[in-house]
Amino acid sequence: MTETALAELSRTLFFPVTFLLYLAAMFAYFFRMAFTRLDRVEGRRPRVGEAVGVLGVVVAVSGLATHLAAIVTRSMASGGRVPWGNMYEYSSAMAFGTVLVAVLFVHARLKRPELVGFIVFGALVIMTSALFLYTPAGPLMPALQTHWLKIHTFAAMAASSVFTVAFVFTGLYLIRDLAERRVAERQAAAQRGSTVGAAYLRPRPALDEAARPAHEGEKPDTTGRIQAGESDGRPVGYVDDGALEDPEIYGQALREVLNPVPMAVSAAAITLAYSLLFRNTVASVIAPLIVGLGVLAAWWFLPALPSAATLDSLAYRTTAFAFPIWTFAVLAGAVWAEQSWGRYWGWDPKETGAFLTWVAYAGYLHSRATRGLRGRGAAGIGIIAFLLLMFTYYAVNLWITGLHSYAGSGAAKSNPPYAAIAGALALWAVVRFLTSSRRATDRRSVSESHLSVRS
Amino acid sequence: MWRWLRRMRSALYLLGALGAATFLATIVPQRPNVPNTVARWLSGAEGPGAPVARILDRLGLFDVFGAPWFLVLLVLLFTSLTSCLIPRYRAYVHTARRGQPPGARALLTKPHVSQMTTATPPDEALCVIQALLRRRRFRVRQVGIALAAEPIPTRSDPRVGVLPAPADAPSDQADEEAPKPLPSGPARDGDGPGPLSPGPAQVAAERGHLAREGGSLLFHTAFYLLLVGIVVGKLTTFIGMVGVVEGQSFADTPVAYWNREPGRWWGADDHTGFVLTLDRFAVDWHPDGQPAYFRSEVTFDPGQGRPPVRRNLQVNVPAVVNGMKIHQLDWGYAVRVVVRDPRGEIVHDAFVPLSDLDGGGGAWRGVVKAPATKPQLGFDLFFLPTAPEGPDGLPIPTRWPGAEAPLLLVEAWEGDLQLFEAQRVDRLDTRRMTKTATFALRPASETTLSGGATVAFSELRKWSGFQVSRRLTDPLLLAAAATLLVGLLPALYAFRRRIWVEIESDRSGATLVTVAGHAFQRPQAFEKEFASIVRTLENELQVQRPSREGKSSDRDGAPTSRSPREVARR
Repeated sequence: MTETALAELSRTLFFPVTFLLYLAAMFAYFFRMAFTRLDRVEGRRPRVGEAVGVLGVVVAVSGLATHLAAIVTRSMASGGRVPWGNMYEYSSAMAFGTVLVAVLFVHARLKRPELVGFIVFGALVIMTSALFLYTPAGPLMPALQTHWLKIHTFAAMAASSVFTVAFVFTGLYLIRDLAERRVAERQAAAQRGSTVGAAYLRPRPALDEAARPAHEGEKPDTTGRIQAGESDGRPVGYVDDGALEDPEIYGQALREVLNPVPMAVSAAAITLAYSLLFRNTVASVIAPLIVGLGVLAAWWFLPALPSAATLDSLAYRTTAFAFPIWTFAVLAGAVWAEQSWGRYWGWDPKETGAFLTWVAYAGYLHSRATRGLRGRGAAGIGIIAFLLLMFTYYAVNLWITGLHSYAGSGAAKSNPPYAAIAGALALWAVVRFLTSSRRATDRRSVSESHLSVRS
Repeated sequence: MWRWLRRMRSALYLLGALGAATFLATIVPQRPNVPNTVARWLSGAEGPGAPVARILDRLGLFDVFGAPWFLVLLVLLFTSLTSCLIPRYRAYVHTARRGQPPGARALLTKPHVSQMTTATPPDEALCVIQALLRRRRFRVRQVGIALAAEPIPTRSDPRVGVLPAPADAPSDQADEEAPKPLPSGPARDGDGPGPLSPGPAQVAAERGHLAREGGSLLFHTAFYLLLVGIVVGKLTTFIGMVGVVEGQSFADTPVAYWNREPGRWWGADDHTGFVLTLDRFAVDWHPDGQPAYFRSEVTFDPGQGRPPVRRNLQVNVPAVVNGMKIHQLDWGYAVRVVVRDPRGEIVHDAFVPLSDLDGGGGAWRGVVKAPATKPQLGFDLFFLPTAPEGPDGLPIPTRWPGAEAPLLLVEAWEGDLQLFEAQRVDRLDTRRMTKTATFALRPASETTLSGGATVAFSELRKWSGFQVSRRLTDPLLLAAAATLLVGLLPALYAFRRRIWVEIESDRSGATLVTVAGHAFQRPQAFEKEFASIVRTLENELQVQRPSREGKSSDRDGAPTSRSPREVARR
């Protein structure tokens, strides 16, 4: 088979099939959560949920297989070199790594299938970006013809995949944490008649691993649902809301206390501001939509998510796993730079960006040991760190001139439309402002509706 | 200020400020990297506009890493790091030399508890336990007084243990203050001043603290190594750039470089005087115009009586001669231009290295200055590697970088070159010159100007750009990087945990063993370890009645770690 035919095979058959399989796997994982919940409500064994869950695993694994085929054929088509020589291949391989982590680590090892759907969702976003970055298969430019491409780039890619997973956990943690807090606040408000300081009735044990009670990991839930009557299921440190022990009501409450629209709009606005950098109309429309939908999905599945404390711990553990890999990638990059450009560090935009990402993740790891920044503060830093990682990858490669500007697809490379970006950020700020001022009224009405449900 | 710097939160703020500065440096072009882009920003041709760019320039944002405020930030960060590290070093040395795992009271309130009864005599059990924990690389200490032979009724009932002991700090708090000896108590240090009422023998063990804290300290110390490496490197490093045309040579002397950046401690006699001869420069392209390879075939004459060596320098393959590292970083075409004045005397005969106009290799530019004639002559050269003749006899420019149909376009100027003013080597200062002609030359052809002077394009070769550098600190930096990584792994993955084992004799003569554990980090990982320790202990002590399986909903069903409440309930 000729090389062109192989490249076409990879591009027109394996890649789209992989995309569809991942999409199907994501829906299967989401449906699994939904069906399991339905069955639980009606007091049956979650048979449909289990069946759909198995289907999800099968589809995800076959997606991984076709993805591997796409990567291998692509590598063969470009003369047997490593399949991460340009941004298209790198994005594709990064998505592969992300799904691999989701299936092998999150599902098989951690037994948290309810999180896999969101991670596959993240992988799909990365794959979509690969579609925009398509580059015909070809040999490497001379600067990349070295073993360091395998070492440095692979490490960076692996770390990015795991960071993506950590980001999904952190994002879900933030949403779930907000919901749990609000439920607790309202609960306390309903009991005490005041909302002031309600969430802090009890001193809150630190959310990091050290302080978490050891039996937290024991809970038998595989769907992450709140187990009735078992204090383990509920997050540590919140007001003991005895009346919300029914998981169904608690889940409903989690969903009702949050208004998903402003959250989705803010996330979409930030994505829009970012995607405008690249002056790609299609991407600027699709990316915010996808991200907004992701936030909506996270909101919808709030009751099925693990508790905020668990999510926080998972996010920490995945980040702590990826951080040394990223450190190694940066250091290996410096060694390669010494060999290739004659200096180990020159504050090239890519180097600067990688360093920046490193500093941000180091800040995340440190902030968890800092009083007052644990939990939400740390998670905020984690989110920023991931945004910086994405900035270092996409924006620095495509939009900023430097030694790593080898997108190959001739994208971007122009002045960003500053006004439009400012507009998108302003939209985000407005949404933030409106939601924060509406919170007070919102709170009262929902807690009242809850009281009526319970009584 | 010192106190402020000592807080972790301040370190995080500083880290955040460093991150913000770095972020600005990523989106704002930096003068040392892309001076042309900075100039375009300042002129308003690119970027957010000239007024904004001027403000950015005032703030030093076009050279963040050279700005004084960046230095201040860095100094603050390192001061903060130092102030955090010194007490930690002290505590670490103390723990490593004398620190002993503290004993504990109320074992049944610990997060992980297990109890078993065995027929093994207490002192034998004690030995087994200590050996087991040592085998698992715990630091073990026996707390408490020698074992009382007779049964101690008060301690045999687990419920008694749950009650907080009077006149004792809450045990959880005591655990946090690492190796400080606990307040006096019966089961504490033998030399403690407390009342010596007979208590159960206790074994306290700890593991992971030295690795975790040591790794963390190593990781942070590596930054000092990096700092020293960078600063000393700045002082001792030599970097020089030079371009050599095929067939020509270059000698490592201070004057031979096109561009030289010696560090402060670099003297002229540090040059080793090797001679580099470029035998051939080979380059090829893929059909789509992407370069396939660049290769400089080079002969080094190291001098000092040693034989010359031949090397092929490539993009990722530098060479080392006399300790100097030579990278191939640049290349270009070089045209030999011969200029004769009207009398036929040669006023310029040299290879002119051309520089790439747009990075694609399709168009090149260079300059010839011939100051010996009157009026002085200057030529702007534009070189197209492939511009074949079309059907009408006119050259058709292509963007192909290979020299298949070379064409040299020449703009001839005459007047005053103003060579006594500072000017760029590769540009003509045409303010006092007039353009006299524009013409095209093929290789080995010449043109006569109106004044009688002739210009010949006699030969086409290539030049290769080399960076010659010497960095004494590279091994140090590599060591710092390795230290960083080596320290990072235990700092993130090792975890500190303590195990206490209490042994006492039952009324019935059996031995009651209580195992309790507490992990400071990674409780999930500890859970498994604790379970396995308990299991091994049960095997070794031949526990007749395996400790209550418990309905603990543990996933792997290990008979361990019941919640304290559960234990108390029994």
